[in-house]
Amino acid sequence: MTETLRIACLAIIYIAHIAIVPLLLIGIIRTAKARLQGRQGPSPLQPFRDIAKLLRKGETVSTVAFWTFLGAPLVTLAATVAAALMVPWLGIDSPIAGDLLLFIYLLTLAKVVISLSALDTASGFGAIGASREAAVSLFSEPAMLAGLAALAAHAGTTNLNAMLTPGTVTVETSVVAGLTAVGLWMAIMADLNRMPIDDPTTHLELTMIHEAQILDNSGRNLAIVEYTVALRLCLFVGLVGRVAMLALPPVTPVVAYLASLALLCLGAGVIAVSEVGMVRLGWRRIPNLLSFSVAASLLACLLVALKG
Amino acid sequence: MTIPVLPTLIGLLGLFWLILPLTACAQTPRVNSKQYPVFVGVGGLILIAVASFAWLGASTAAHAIPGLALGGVPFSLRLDPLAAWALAIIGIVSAAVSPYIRGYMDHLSPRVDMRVFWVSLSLLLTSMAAVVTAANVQTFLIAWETMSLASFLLVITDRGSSKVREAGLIYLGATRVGTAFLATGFLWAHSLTGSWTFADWHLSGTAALGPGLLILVGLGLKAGMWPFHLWLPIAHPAAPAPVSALMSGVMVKMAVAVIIRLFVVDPSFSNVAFGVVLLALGSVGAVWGILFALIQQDLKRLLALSTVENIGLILASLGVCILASHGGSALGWAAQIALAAALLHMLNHAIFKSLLFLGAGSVDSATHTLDLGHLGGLAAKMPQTYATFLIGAGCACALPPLSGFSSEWLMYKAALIVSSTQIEPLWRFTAMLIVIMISLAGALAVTAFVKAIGVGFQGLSRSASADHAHEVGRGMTTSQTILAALCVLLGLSAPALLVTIQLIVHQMTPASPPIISAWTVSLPAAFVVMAFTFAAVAVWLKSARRRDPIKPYSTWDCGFGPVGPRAQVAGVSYVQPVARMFGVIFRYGQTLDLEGVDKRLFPEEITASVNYESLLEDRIYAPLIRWIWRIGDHVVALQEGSIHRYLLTMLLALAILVAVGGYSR
Repeated sequence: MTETLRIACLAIIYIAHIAIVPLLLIGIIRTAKARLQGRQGPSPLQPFRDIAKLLRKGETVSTVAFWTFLGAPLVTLAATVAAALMVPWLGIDSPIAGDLLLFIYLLTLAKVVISLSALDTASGFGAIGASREAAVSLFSEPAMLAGLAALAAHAGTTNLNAMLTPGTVTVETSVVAGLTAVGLWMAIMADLNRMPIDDPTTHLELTMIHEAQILDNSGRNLAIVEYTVALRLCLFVGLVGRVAMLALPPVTPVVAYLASLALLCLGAGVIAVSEVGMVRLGWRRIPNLLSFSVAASLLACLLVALKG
Repeated sequence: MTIPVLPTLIGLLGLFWLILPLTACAQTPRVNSKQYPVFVGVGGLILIAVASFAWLGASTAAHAIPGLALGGVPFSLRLDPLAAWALAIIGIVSAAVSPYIRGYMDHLSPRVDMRVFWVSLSLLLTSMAAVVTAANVQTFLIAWETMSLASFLLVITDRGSSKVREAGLIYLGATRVGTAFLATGFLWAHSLTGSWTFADWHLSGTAALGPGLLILVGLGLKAGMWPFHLWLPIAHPAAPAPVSALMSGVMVKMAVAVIIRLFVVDPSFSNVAFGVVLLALGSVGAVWGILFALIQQDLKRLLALSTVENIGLILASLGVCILASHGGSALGWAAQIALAAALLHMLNHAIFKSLLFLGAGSVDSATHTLDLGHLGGLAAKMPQTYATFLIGAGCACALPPLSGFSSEWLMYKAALIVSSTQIEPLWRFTAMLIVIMISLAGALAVTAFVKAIGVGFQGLSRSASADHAHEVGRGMTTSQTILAALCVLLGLSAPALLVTIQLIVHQMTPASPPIISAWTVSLPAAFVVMAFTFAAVAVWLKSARRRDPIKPYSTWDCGFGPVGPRAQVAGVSYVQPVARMFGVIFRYGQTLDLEGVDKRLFPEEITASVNYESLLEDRIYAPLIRWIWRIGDHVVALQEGSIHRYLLTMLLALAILVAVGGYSR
C-alpha cells in the first residue's frame, strides 16, 4: 500500500512539474539571453502566454497534408510525456520504473513523427530540416546511448532510477559521471537543435533544422509541438544534471530535488550563455563537434570496463 | 488420444503444399489460379498447427522416413523446439501472404507461365520446412537444393526482362557457391566424426574450426551475411513481391535457424572463433547493409538491404551468445538472452519485412514503378497500404510499442549484461561497442525508412503514374492488414513469446533463471500513458476544431505561389548529408553540370547527379569475377572438341586417381 501511495505521490509531483517547468525553463533561457545581450527581454512567463495564445488561435493546414501531419504532434507529445514519467529528471525517483532503452526509443519516436509530418506537407524546407535532423541524430543518439551504457554497465541495470541513484563515490565513479555528463551535454545540444548546431532563433528557412520541420504547423498544432520541445529540453537537461550529481555523495531526496531544480536553472543559464557567445557551426563541421561527444562517452565506457 | 495428430497434420500439409499444386500443372499456363492461394494459406495454417503440436510434445528425437534413403542413409526429420519455432515463422508468413498472391499476380499472369510459379512456390514452402527439420546431411542437402532451385525459378518468374534474368543468374551463382562450401564442410565433418547425423557431431577446439567455417560461409551466403550478401539486393527486388516477402522474410531465416542449430544450441561445432566471426561480420553487416539501404532509389532494393542489416543484428546477437556461452557460468544468462533476442528478431523481422515487401509490391502494381524519384503522394491514394507500410517501417526502426523494439531491446540487454559482468575489460568494452553499433544501425534505419515513407508515400506525386494510382484490391490489403496487426500484437505480447522461447533457450544452460525475468521494460505502462495522453489531447483538439475549423491553405512557399511536386525533396537529396558523412565507404560524389551560352550566370539546363560505388563490389568482387572469367576462358579449351585433349584429360585423371588411391593405402 505504501508503495502504491509513494508512486501516486511521485506521479502527482512529476505531472505537476511536467505542466509547469518546461515552459518556465524556456522563459528563463530567453530572459537570461536578453539580459546578457543588454536587452530588457520578456518576463520568464512569456512562453506560457505564447502557448495560450497559440491554443486560442485558428489553425491553417496545408491542403497537401494528410493525417500524418495532424497526428504527429499528438504522438510526439504522448511519447515525450511517457518518457518524462520514466526518467528521474527531478532528482527523485520517477513514478514509472523507466528503462534506459525504452526512454531513448520513445524520444526517437517523438522525433521521427515530426520528420514525417514535415515531409507530409511536401515542403522543401521541411524536408531539408528533416534530412539534417537525421544526420545530426546519427551522431547524437549513439553518443547519448554510449554515455548512458557506461552508467548502466557500472550500475549493472538498465533501470534509470537505479542507474541514477548515487552510491559510494570513488574517484572512478566521479570521473565516469563527469565524462558522461560532458558527452551527454554535447549530444543533447545537438539533439535539441540548439547552439552551436542550430540557432533556434534564426529567421531564414534554409538554415533551420528543427524550425524548418515545423514551418507549416500553426495554432494548436504548433502549440503542442512547441510545448513538447520544451519538455524534451527539460528532460534532457534534468537527465544531465542527474548524471552530474552521481559524482557527488548521496543526499536526501529533498536536497536532491532542490539541487535538480538548481541544476535545471544552471543548464538554462549555460544554454543562454552559449547562445549569446557562440556562432552557429558550419554544417559540415557538426560531425567534428559531435565526435568529441562520442569520444567522451567512449572514454567513460572504457573507464567502466577497466575499473568498475 | 489415439489419433496420431502430428503425422496426420504433416500428411495434410503434404496434401496442401505438394499434392494439390500438381493440379495447378494441369491448368493452362496463363491463368491466375483462384484455388492455389487457398492451398498456400491452409498449408500455412496447418504448419502453425504442426509447430504448436511439436511444441507441446517437444522431443528432440529424429524420425526416419521409412523407405526413403540416399546412399544408404535414410531421410530423417527432427521436430525439436527450434525447428518448431522456424516452422511457425514459415506458417505465419505463408498464411498471411496467401490472400495477396492472386491480386498481385494479376498483372504478371498474362506474360509468365503460372504453372511454373505455383509449383515452384509449393516446392519452396515445403523445402523450407524440410531444411529446418532435417536431421542429417542427406536430408538437409536435398531440401536445401530444392529450396535454392525453387527460389531461383521464382526469382526469374518475370524473365522477359533482362534485369530479372541477370538477377537470376547472380542468385543461381551465389547458391552454387554456397552449396559447394556446405558440401565440403559436411564431408569434412563426416570424415572427422564418421556420422551423417547432425546430432552426432560434437566437434570442438581446432577440429571444429575447418568444417565449421566452411559450413558457416555456406549458410551465411544464403542468410545474407556480410560480405556474402551481394546477391540479396539484386535477387530480392527482381522477384514478384509475395516471393520477395517469402525470401527476405522467411528463407534467409531458415539459414539462420540452421546456424543456430549447428553452432549455438547444443552445438555441433563449438569454438569461440565462431562467436568472434559472427559478431564481427554481423556488426559490420548491420551498419553496412543499412548504410547502403538508405542511399537506394529503388524501394525494394532498400528493403532488401535493410534485410542485410537485420540479419547482421541477428548474427551479431548469436555471436554474443556463442562468446558468452564460452565465458563461464557468469555469462550463461547473457548467452540465453542473446539467443532469445536473435530468435525473437527472426520472427519479428519475418513479419515486418514481409509486410514492407508486400507494401512495395502494392505500390509497384498501382504505379508500375518502384523508383522513389517517381513516387510520392500515395498516402491519400492508397491509404491502407500507406498505414500498414508506416507500421512496418516503425517496426524496422524498432519504435516502441511495435514488435521490432522488443527484440532489439533484448539485444541491447544481452550486451549490457555482458558489459556489467566482472570479466576481462576487453570483452566488457566490446559489449559496450555493440550497444553503440546497434544504436548507430538504428539511427541509420530511421533515416532510411523516413526517406522511404516521406519520399515514396507522402507529399505530392512526382510522376503521372503515381498521380493516377489507386488502392490495390481487397485480397492484397487483407494480407497487409493481417501482418500490420501482427506487428502491433507481437510488440505487446513480447513476454508471452519469451516464455515460448524458453524451451529452446533452456537447451543451453538449464540452470539459469528464466529469460522472462530479464524483461524488465515497463512497456505496458509507457503504452498506457501514451494512449491516455494521445486520447485526451485528441478529444480536446476535436472539440476545438469543431468550434474553430481548420483552414486549408497551401504549404509555405515564401509567397511565390503554391509549390509543385518538383520543389519537393528527392530521395537522393534527403540522404545527402548522411551519405556525405559516410562518403569514404560509398566513394560518394556529386556532380553539377550547367549548360547554356552564358552558363555561369544564366544556366539554361542544370543537371545534378550523385554517384556512389561500393568498396566491396568494385574493389573485391569485380576483380575476383573477372579473374574467374579469365580462368574460364582457358578451361573452356578442354571441351572445345579436340579429341587429343579429351584423351589427355582422361589419362591425367586416371593417373591422379591411381596415385591418390595408392597413397591413401
